[in-house]
Order: sequence, then C-alpha cells, then structure tokens
Amino acid sequence: MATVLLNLMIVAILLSALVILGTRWLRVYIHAYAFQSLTLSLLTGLLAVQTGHGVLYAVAVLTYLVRGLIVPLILLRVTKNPVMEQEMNLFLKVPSSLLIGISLVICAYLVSLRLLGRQGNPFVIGAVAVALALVLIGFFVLSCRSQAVTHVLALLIVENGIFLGSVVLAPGMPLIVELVVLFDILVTVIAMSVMVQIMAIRLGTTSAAELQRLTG
Amino acid sequence: MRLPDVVLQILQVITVLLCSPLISGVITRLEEMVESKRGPSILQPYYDLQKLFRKVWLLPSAASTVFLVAPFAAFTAMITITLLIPVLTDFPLPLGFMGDMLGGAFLFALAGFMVNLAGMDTGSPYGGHGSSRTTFVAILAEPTLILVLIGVALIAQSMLPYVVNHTLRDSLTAYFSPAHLLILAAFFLLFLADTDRLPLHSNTHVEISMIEEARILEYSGWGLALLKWASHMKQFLLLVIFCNVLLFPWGLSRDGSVLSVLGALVGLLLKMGVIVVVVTVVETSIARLRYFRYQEYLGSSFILALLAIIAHQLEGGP
Amino acid sequence: MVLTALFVIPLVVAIAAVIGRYRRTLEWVVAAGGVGVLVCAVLLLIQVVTAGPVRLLDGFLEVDSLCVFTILTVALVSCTASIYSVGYMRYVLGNSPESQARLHRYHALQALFILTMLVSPALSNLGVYLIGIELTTIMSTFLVSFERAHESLEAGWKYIVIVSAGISLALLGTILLYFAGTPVLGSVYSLDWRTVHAVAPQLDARMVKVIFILILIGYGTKVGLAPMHTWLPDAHSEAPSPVSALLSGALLNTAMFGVLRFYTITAASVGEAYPQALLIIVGLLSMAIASFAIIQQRDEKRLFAYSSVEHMGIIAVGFGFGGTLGVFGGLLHMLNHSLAKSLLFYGAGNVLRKYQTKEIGRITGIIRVMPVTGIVWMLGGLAILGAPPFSLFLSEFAILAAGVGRRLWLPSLIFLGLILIVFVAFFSYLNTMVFGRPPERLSRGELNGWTVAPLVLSFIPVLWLGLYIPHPVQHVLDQVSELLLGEVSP
Repeated sequence: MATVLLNLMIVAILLSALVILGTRWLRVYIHAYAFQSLTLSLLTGLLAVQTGHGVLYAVAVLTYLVRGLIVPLILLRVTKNPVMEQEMNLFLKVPSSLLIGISLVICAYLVSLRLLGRQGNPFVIGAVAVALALVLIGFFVLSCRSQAVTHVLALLIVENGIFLGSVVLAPGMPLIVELVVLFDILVTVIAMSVMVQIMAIRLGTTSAAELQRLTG
Repeated sequence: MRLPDVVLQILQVITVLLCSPLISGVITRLEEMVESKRGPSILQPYYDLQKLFRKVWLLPSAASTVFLVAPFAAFTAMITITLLIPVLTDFPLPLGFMGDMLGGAFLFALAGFMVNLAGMDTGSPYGGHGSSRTTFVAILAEPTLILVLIGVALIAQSMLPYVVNHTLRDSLTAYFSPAHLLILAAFFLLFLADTDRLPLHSNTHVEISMIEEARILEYSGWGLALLKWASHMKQFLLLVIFCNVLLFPWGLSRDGSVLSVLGALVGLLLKMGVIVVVVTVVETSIARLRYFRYQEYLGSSFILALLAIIAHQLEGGP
Repeated sequence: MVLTALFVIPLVVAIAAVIGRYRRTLEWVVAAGGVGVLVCAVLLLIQVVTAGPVRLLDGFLEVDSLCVFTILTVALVSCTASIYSVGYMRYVLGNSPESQARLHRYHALQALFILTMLVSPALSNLGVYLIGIELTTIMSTFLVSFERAHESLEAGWKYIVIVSAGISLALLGTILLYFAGTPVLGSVYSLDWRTVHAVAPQLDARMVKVIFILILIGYGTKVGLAPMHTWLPDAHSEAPSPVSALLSGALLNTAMFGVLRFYTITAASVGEAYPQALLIIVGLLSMAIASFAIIQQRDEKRLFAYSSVEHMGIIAVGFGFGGTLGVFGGLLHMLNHSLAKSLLFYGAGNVLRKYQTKEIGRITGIIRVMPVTGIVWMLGGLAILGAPPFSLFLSEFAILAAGVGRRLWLPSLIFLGLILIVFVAFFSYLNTMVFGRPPERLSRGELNGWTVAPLVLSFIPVLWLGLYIPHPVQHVLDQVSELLLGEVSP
C-alpha cells in the first residue's frame, strides 16, 4: 500500500509541474507550486517512516513550512501588484509547451533508467525520473515564459526536483545541507521578490520580454 | 436462478434503449435547478421522442441516400456497442467477443462519420459548418481516445472491457495506480467533449450554430427521433464504460440471477447519478472556451492520457 | 585568530554602515576595513604556508593552500575596491539626504558581499560552499542594479536568474556526488571535500563524469565560461565600477575555486584526462566567443567584461593543459587577472564619471584630461593583453608552454591565435580612448585622490609580479599546484 501511495504522490508532483506548463494564469502557477511542495513534504514524511531516518521528519516539516507555505505566500503577495499581468501572453502556445514537457519527461525517464540501471528499485527509478523531469521542465519554463515571477517559479521547480532526487537517492543527507538549501531558497525568493517589486516601480512592467536593451 | 445468456443480452439492449433518454432528462433538469429554474420534467426526452416518432420525415430535395442511411447507421452502431460492454453482468455474454474496446471506438467513429456526411449532404451551410467543427474536435480527441485505450490495455493486459473490469475490481493496487487515475481524468474530459458539453459545447438547446444541432438541422420527424435517440444512447454508453469499466468496477451481476440483475441496474443508475451531478457542476460553473482554445482543452486530456502511460512505466510496469 | 579577524572586519564595516550617521567616518571605516582585510589575508597566507591548514569551528571552516590563495585574490581586490568605492560613490550619489541613506546601504551591501566571498572558499562542506556562492549572488544582485536604471535592473535580473539556475545544476551535481559516495561511506556521512576526495578512486566512474559536467556547467555559469557567460557582460558593465571590479576580480575566482575542488575529486576518481579535456574545450570556447565580442564592441565596460570571459577561458585552458607549468600558469593568472582587471574597471569608472558615457567612440584623449588615470590605465591595458614585462605575460606564457610541452598542438595554436586577435582589437580601442584630442567642454584633472590611489595600488603588484614573485606567493603557488596535481596535504 505504501508503494501505491508513493507512486501516487510522485505522479501528483509531476502533474503539478505540467499544470504550470498548461496554464496562462499566474495564480494557478503559484497554487500548483504550493500543491507540489505539499505533496513533496508528505512524500518525505512517508519515506521517513519507511527508511527510518529520523532527520527526514524534520526535513519534511521544514520543507512544508518553507516551500509549501512561506514561499507561495510571498509570491502571492508579489502578484498583487497591479502592474503584474495576471494572464500571460505566451510565445509558445499551451499544447506545444505541454508536448515538449511530456517529451522532457520521457527523456528524464530514459536517463534515469540508464543512470540507475534496469535492475534498480522501480520506485527509485520512477522518482529519479520525475526529479529529473522537474529539473528539465523548470529550465524549459525558465526559457519559454517571459513573466518575472514565472522565472522565480521555474527556479523553484528545479529546486523541488533536486530536493525530490536528494530525498529518494540520499535519504541520509546531513540535515545541515538540507537546512542551508531551504535557507537559500528563502533568501533567493525574497531577493527576487524585491527585485520584481523594484522593477514594477521603476519600469512599470514585470515582463522579462521588455528586458532586451543590453546586447552585444 | 440464472437467466439464460440470450435473455441477459436482450435485457442489456433494452436497458440502454429505455434508460438513455432518462439520463439526458436528469442532467437537463438538474442544471436548470442549479440555475434556480424549475426546468422540464426528467421525462421530457421521452415526450420529445414520442412526438417526433409520430411525425412525418420530410426529405430535403437535395438529399441523397447518405442522408437516408445515416440515422439508421448511427442507431445500429449504438446497439452493437451495447453488445460489447458490461452493462449489467460482469461475465461476458455470447456476443461480447465480437469486438474489443478498439472495436467499440470504431463503431462510435462510424456513427459520427455517417452523421457528418449526412450533415454535408444537403449542401446547407449549417450542416457543413457543424460537420467541419465535429471533425475538428474529433481529430483532436481521437489520439487521446487511442492513448486511453492503450493505457487501459497496459494496466489490464487486455483490450476486452470485461477483463479490464475484472482487473480493476480485483486489485486495489491497480485501481489506485496513478496510471488508472490519470486515465479516469483523461476519459472524463473526453466524455465531456464527446457528449457535446461544456467547456467545448454550449448546452443551449436551440443554438443552431452549435455542433450537434447544426449537423442534424435538416432532419425532421422520426429520422430526427432516431438520431436524437442515438445521441442519448451514445452518452449513456460512454457513461456505462466510464462507470462499469473504469470508475466503479464493482456491483455488477455475477451470477445472472433476476435479483442481481435488478440490483446491477439500480446500481448502474446510482453510479451514473454521481457522474451526472459532477457533470452538472462542471456545466454550470464553467464558461465555454473560445473555438481556437479547443486544442488546449483536448491537448490537456491528451497529455493526461500520455502521462498515464508514462506513469505506468514509472511504476515499473512492463 | 587571523581567520576570525578576516571575517569579523567586513562584518564590522557592514554594521557600521547600517548604524553609522556620519559620511566622513563611514568612508574612513570602509577604507580601513579594506586594508584590514588585505593585511589579515596576507598574515593568513604566511600562516598557512608555514604551518599548514587553519581550521575554525571544529573544521567547519578550513583554510588550506588553495583556499588561502583564493582568499588572497579576493582580499586584494576588496582592499582596492573599498578605497575606490569611497571616491566613486561620491560622484554617483551627490549630497542629498536621500542619497546619504543609499550610500550607507551601498557600503553595507558591499561589505556583506566581500564577507560572503571571503567565507565561501573556507567552507569545507561542499553543500554549504554551494550556498555560500549563492549568497554572493544575492548580495551582488542588489549592487549590480544599484543605480536602478532600466539597464541596471535588467542586468541584475538576468544575473540572479541565470546564475541561480546554474547554481541549482551545481546543487544537483553535489547531491549526485553524495549519492555516489553512499556505497563506500554508508548512507549518512559528512559532505566534506576531504572525505569525498579520500574515497574518490572507489566512486562509480560514470557517475563522477556526469557530476563533473553538472559542476562545470553550474559553477561555470558563475565563472562566466561560455556558453553560460551571457549574464556576465551585462552585470559587469551595468554595476557601479567598484562592484564591477569585485565581480570580475574576486567573485569569478571564488567560483573557479569550486570548479578546482571538484576537479581534484574527479581527477582522483577517473584520471586527469577527462576533466582536462572538458576544461580545454570550455576554455577555448570562452576565449573564442569573447574575442569575437571584443572585436565589435562599442561599450568600454562591456569590452572589459568580455575580456574577463576571455581570461577565465585562459585560466580554464591553463588547468586543462595541466602539468606543473599549466597549473602554475592558471593559478598565477587568477591572481594577475584580479589585479589587472580591477585596475581597468577603476579607470573605466573614472572615465565614465568624467565623460558621462561608456561609448568607446566618444571617449578620446584621456591622457590629457586625467594624466594619471590615462597612463596607468594604458599600462594596465597592456598588462591585461599579456605584454611583457607585466605578470600576465608570465602566466600566459607558462600556460602556452604547458600546452606545447604536452604536444597539444591544435589547442595551443588556437590559444595563441585568439590571444593575438584580442590583442589587436583591444589595443586599438585602448589607443583611441587614451590618446587623441579630448572633447573641448571637459574640465582637466582627476576626480579625486580616492579614485586614483587604487589604480596605482593595483598596478604596483602587476608590475612587481612580472619581474619577481615574492617568496610566500611562490610557496603557496607550489603548494596549490601539488594539491591540484593529486597530492593532498594533510
């Protein structure tokens, strides 16, 4: 039964990343990210029960607090700015980005299969595939969406992917590393939010597509 | 006491024939109620059919044989599909092996194709308009359907609806596997698109620019009645597949006795009741998509189906 | 003791900037802090060279030869940049009360930026080092976009997004490294680089290769290696000049430090040939892309920024060629580039304030307008191009000799060719800017003493190191070379 739950969570995590590719609404992005983080922390908790690494309990709780609660709240606050366009103008349409997203998932699966070998635990192969897929999808979102806040979210998705990988591959990872990573996420998000606010005030836009004066 | 297979088979067809208008009536009534209107009686589709059957079928002067054949083709296709799927019993009936789920998909497509041709046959602009739009949606929906079928086949290792039903009924692991849940979601989106519901089609009954109404605008009398009945049955059959095969594989008659068959019938109507409520909520709370955003909607159902297959791989499936 | 002082000094400066009230006092504190950092770094260098690695907080911070060398380059630039920022920010901000507050914020951020750059290399845990690097990014982002114009905000945003993305790849590499270590070290162990280095030969070779690629892309983004360099010209050209100098002279080295750490682990695991080949490819690519950008450049600060990309490429090629000569050349080049490039950015800052433009075509006759800046800048420019007798000639020559010595004919030839292309293009720009008839409306004379002193201060070691390498520096270079060539000192 635990395996079924773990599998469900992993697919839920993957699905929430694809939701981000499949929508134009900024708020949906943030909610999908919050949902993803919540699932991730539940997954961590379940793994803590399974593997018996006490550290993971703490990591699960902290993950939820930072990734699932504080960061989405900060981002929601930032998007309240009237300058922020709520519905995005995409230069890659939804179906194409979804298809590219799916191909990235397949890619990630093949890489994971090669990296860990066919004999490995199928759950670990699946989880690592999803982790890599999140990293790839994050980079894809980073390059194809022009809103400043989506850049932040893209980086956060990449971080979530890496976190998933670390929880599954190296559950014994020292707490200090997890702690500094969370701290880093918090600081980065705050710094980027401040940047977005300054951009909104000084430039009157938060679309990164407007940022193309510096070339050559 | 076990009923003979032939009787069960006939009962199955009769169930579909008789209950299908009821479901349409219930959905319409519920929607009106949500919008705080009283709404027509849930038996209204029966009255409509009765009225139409009593009227003469007028053929347009430009109509050809296709126009004449289409209603019969659609109607027969639906009855044939009924023979293939588990409506009341969870053991296959004699004609159940005529075709698998892919065969059923073919028959649905055949019915749609014939009605499309009929829509264009008379050269009326509305008919052509409706047909072209249906084809557009079908082109986008077909790949999803194929993927859903492949996903189901991967889970159950078979394309036969009865086998799928058994696999899901017997194994909770298979039932709660991400692949199955994603297939449910993808199929539900397909269901909405295939039965002319929001967010793709408006449920306004008289809006002739809409797909279903436009295609059959030239029909009248009992020809129209056949087509309408066929479309009620299509919706009912899709619901049967969704309920009995995918969503609630439990509660079908196992031994074929009178009592269990009755129980299965009541159970089926209850299961459909749940879906009907969900459909009502969707229809009353969502706005129709712009025509050029259909691809986003159907694209997402395609992605869900594709993801189901990937999820099956991720779990380490063969 | 010295180590603690090294970290406390910038912290004190930052606090002073936050709570201080008087502008004059703050300026002197900042300058004194810069000098203090340099003095501590030199003392630390001598201590490490003579007595071995210095540890603090139970080994959480550990300064070995490679680390102290990096700290030295950071401290050198920090010292001159602190002094320079005092004079430069007067011209940027003026005298209004609002600008007073911004000045305090600037100095606080700059001190914190320096602090993170000093601490990061000393963090022995590879995971924590990574976060240290990310913190340097965050601190410097606000410095880059300090002027809050459209361009500087754009540069700051690109900088933080691209570099954070890069760092996340490095994080992935670090976690994979931890995973690769679990079969040998058990599921729970400290991600200390010494621990990992000790078991490197037992790690899964295929995994280690993937890890090195991730790390090279990740930290390579921060180092400004092509094709991940795209943020660098924007950030370096739009930042205030002292920050440009810090970014170019100090920050790139702290990131290069990370690449070198992983280089030692990879080399110990799968042999030197694999990481060396990657470094040569990436290095030559950086040089090539930078040289083409330099040929058709119109903006003087972007010119210097691309030159930084080129020099990071040279350093990477140096380590790629390997051997005693190559590693020695690469290390020395890190030091030399820090000094010379910060000098150029200080000069560029003076010119920018005087001429009110960064466009190369509109800057002429610097030597008549600001004689000292002009002369030192010209000499610094010659130094950065690798002309003898300056120290960069020595390091570039050592790298080339290493390549030829290993019979890597094609890479060496490309290396030489690209350096020559840059020399010609860069020199002609420098020529038109320094000589010629200055615009009529400009008043003659330097900005102020604060802005001239750092140029001279940076220039002296560039010349000195070209003629003679002092004993402690020579010694630390030897020790680091040994470390990188595969012998870990205890």
